[in-house]
Amino acid sequence: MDKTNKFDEYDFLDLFYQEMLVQGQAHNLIRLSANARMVEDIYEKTRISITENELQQVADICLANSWVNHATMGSGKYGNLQLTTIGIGVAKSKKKQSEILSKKSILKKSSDYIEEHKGLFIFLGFVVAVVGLIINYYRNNGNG
Amino acid sequence: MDKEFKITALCLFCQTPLQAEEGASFESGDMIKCASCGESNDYDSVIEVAKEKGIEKVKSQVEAELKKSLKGLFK
Repeated sequence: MDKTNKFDEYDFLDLFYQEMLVQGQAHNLIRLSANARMVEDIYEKTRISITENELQQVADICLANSWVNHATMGSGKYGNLQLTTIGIGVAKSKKKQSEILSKKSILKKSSDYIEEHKGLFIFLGFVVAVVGLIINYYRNNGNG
Repeated sequence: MDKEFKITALCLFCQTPLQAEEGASFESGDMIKCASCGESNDYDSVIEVAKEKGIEKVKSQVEAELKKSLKGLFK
């Protein structure tokens, strides 16, 4: 988990993924419940403080996107949740994304940033050009 | 039963069809960027989800065929 202040749906999925690795089992065999115990576990592992209600809101996002589903019936809305195939895909994709990002050099990161925000840079260039023209116009009028 | 199934590779994050640039090819370990939400999808996971969908489609088709042929047996 790369964020220090906020626990989001991707961190929630990562809990399942980490548990898979710890237990050496496939995603359909790992079951976790979004309850007070999970809140404590999250704090122990990440030092992120989250209330049970906030955790369940995060679980709701994952349930709504079909990233997790109920492994058993009768365990409540947040009991015995397991990762779906899509959920494990999202968790792996996010993990790879952060791995790739951490491997990139500062130069590559800034180059990618410029590439992704080229519209903004063109706009800024346009603003600078207009301001330059206006200054030039007033300077010429002041002198003339 | 001789049917063809088409499975669309969907973005894992927003469920819109993934579209690659013309001539682009992907292989295991690659990331596919979604044009709609901008998230990068793990190629292997996208294939895994598509495979699961394919199996579900074949299963329901086989079930339907079996029901048909069983109905015919008891006529």
